[in-house]
Amino acid sequence: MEEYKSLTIDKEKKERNLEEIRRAAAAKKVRNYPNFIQSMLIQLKYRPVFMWMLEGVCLGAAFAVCRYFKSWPGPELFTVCAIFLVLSGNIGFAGLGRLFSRNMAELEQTLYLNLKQMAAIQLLFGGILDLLVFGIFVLLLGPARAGETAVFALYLLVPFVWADVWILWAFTLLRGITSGLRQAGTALLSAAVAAAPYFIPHIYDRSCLPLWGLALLAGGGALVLAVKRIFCVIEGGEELCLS
Amino acid sequence: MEDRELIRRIQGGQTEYLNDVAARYYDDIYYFCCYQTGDRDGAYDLTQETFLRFIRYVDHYNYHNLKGYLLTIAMNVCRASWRNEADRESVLRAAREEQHRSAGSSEADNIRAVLLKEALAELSESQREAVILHHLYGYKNREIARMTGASLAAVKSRIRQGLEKLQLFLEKEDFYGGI
Repeated sequence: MEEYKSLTIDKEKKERNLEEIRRAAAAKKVRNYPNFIQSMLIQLKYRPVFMWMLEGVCLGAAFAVCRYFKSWPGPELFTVCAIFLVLSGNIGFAGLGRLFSRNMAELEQTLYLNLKQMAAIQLLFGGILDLLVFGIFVLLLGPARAGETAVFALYLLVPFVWADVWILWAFTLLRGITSGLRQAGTALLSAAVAAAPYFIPHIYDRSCLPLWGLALLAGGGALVLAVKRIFCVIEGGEELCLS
Repeated sequence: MEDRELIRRIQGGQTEYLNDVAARYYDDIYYFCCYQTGDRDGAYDLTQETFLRFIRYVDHYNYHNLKGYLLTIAMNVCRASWRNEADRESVLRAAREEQHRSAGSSEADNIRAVLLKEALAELSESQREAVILHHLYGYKNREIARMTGASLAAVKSRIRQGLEKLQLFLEKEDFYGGI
């Protein structure tokens, strides 16, 4: 069906059009929008040295916990590891908080940066640290619990997931409070969430494992919703502006 | 140079390659606008507007199918040009008058192309879009659904009904067979 191309195109009119297009092309200034990988590399490049050092200290401390607390009784060990894991989660989320510190969100919007992409990258960085700490605990302490590695992992994951849900909600609930106070408050409350199971009688009994499983599922769902909510309110701006 | 490489260079700041895109696809976009609106003169403006819009938003373009993307812009530009039913009617009238004027001239235009243009003007906008994209540009139904925002079933229905109307209008099975 190439016959449809047999309608004659007026060369002069076409040339006039192309000239107008040439003018627009010459005037065009292309803005470079980095893709996800490029954004990730840029954020890695400009990550504060302090953050790298803090995360290094965190990993070192995780090994120290494994060495000095491994002989502790089960419930106490689970609680210490869960608190440590959620506190390392707080460190991981500090990068996300910096994205929305005073005037940063407005500046980032002005520079046409993709805030959702940047938030996703910060969540990824935080998640990597958490995964490393979790891995250290499960691999070094799990097998020592007479083959109950999966159960040990469950006892760590449930408080961790619910603490993360709280941390993400804290970005909007605690806006307007100064950064240091907000981080301290978030850390204290998430540590309290992690420690809460210790005070529930018989919670570490085998018979309560289904409850832990349900709590993990519910926590996973709540975490997904909390992450989705963060991405939704990024558009609004004022709900996340921490100034 | 492939389209992907052209876009990569353009988004890297080498905006002179925008002219290569225009030179490569000008005729395709012109024919689309011409058949879609039935207005050969107006199609020049619509073609220019299509490329100007492409230039305006090229920063955000994620390369997939450049020609399809340009045709989608052209589609929206043509739709926007139908400001109201009265406009559409006046353009169709102008298209028919132009057809009658040029019928006696010795232009190089293939008579079938001219007949097709007038026949397409008898279809509804959505049917015309679907028939042009499917039979003149070779896009599959699924691709047309994505470009037009319609469902697959709607696209199939539009193509079928559009061809039925074309057949009635042209009254020549051999011409229809050529499509």
